[in-house]
Amino acid sequence: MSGPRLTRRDFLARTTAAGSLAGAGLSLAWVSAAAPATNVVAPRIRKARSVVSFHLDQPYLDPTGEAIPYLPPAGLRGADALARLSAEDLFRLPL
Amino acid sequence: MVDFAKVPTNVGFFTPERFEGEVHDCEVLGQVPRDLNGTFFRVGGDWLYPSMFPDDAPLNADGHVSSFQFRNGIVSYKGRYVRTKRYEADKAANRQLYGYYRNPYTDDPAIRDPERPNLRTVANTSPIVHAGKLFALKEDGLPHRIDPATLATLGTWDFEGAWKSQTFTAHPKIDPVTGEMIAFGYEATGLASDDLFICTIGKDGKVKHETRAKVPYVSVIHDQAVTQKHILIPFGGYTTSLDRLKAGKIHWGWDQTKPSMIGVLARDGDGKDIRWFKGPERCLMHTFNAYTEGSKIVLYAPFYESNFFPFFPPIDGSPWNPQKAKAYVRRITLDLKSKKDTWTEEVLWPFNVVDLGRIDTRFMTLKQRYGYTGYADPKRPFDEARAGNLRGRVTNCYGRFDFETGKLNSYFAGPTHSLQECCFVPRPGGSEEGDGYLIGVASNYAEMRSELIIADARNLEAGDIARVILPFRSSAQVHGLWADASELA
Repeated sequence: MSGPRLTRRDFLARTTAAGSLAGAGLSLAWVSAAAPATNVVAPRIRKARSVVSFHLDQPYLDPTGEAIPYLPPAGLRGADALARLSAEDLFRLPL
Repeated sequence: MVDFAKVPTNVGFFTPERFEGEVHDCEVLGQVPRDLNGTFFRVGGDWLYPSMFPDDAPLNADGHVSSFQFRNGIVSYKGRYVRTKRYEADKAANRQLYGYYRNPYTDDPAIRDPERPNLRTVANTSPIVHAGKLFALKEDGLPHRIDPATLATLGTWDFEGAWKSQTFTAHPKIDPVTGEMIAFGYEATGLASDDLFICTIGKDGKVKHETRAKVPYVSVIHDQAVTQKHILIPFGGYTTSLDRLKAGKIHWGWDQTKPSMIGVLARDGDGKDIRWFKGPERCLMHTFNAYTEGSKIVLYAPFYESNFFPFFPPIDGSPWNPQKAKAYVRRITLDLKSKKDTWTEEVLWPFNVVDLGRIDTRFMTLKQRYGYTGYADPKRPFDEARAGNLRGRVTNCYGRFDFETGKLNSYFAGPTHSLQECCFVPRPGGSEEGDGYLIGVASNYAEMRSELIIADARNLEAGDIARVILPFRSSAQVHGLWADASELA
């Protein structure tokens, strides 16, 4: 190994910044690609204007887009930015 | 590879925990009362794998049981998943096999079994201790026995074959006078069935009385209320059908044309004699308590105006209405002598509350004075920079609601906290109603950790006596229960 040593904090800070950029381009039109094949076609919410809002102390998906969005605090502890990245993207981050 | 990014509501503090663990002798701010000797059990949901559908109900998350064990002023924590058949199947497959909340028709064909829907329960709703046994409950399946010391799952429990319903309520009630547990199962004979089985289980844990009834329409029957003479079965608004389920929809939809209902049955009565009272559009979910006085039954309950679950949409296609998703503390009086099959209703406080109402359970089935639940006080401070844009939207207070005087006493959790359901713990050696502690877990959104609050139930304004600090987020509880050490001996 060569080069300056990267601390975990630095890694997370850089990754969060990259994740935020990647996340900015995300659409809220989720697809359930993870769902295995079934022979039932379930109705799903596909409206691009869906918004994650907050009710009774937990987030929920509002398909009308009219609810007040839930914006968790910026920071590193939730690893939200990391969660938005695929493993491939994660390892390609310029560090 | 697991990827929760496809579930947009699994965000920030609400990212699944996905681990099991224990903390011996937790960090504490303040002094834990040394007279508390027992365990606070909690049951909630925590996704092992992401939900199959992004708009699924969080009520479909895998059951997770946790405990705060109190011994001589020291508190230790444990948390484990409930080992349901579903958990084991998902774990073996390394992915989510199960579809929408209580709809087996949306499951992966490898495990799909609509004839036995109770095998897909997640056991994620409430704990109960009865006859020396601890159970994790959910209303769509049988109880799961849990080892109270290790939290290991010991299997499902059908009361030695005497429990005949496919399902078992998450809210059995224990009569403090007799020690009996009153329980019921709805959709008792299968998906969307109108069968309701009601049982009395003796303090020895054996089923001593069972009766069966038909419901006016199939709906969520989440809770009940029990008096010394009667069993009350409340529900309203939510509907389902086999056609709905076969169409691949989530189990419940809201039908605003349906009346709210309360069934009244004598404790030792026959199901065919159940009397159904009707009310206006309401979402009848949890109760505080009820008692019988002469020909009248008085029920205290924090019932909602209408559908409070955004993920169970109206069946007419209209959008969910958050303005009507509000619960108020209500006193409902049913007159058994009246020929009218309806009730009178009073709203006791003008602001909405969390509907997870609790009481001093030594007074369950009896006339009681106090109810406890959380509520959002928008006048209290909230630190949006550290905790997110949730001002006015989090449960920042516990209240003691005095049903006799109308007085409210409040506990405030802090400007970055949201409170989960509270639980009343009687002070050892005391007998007066309300003499004890109010405990509950707070979510600290700024520090991304969970904290167990312990407050004097008769002096809530003084703040907490102690806070037990967990160095992580413990999965959100649906319901919790205090069990004195002697109950599990």
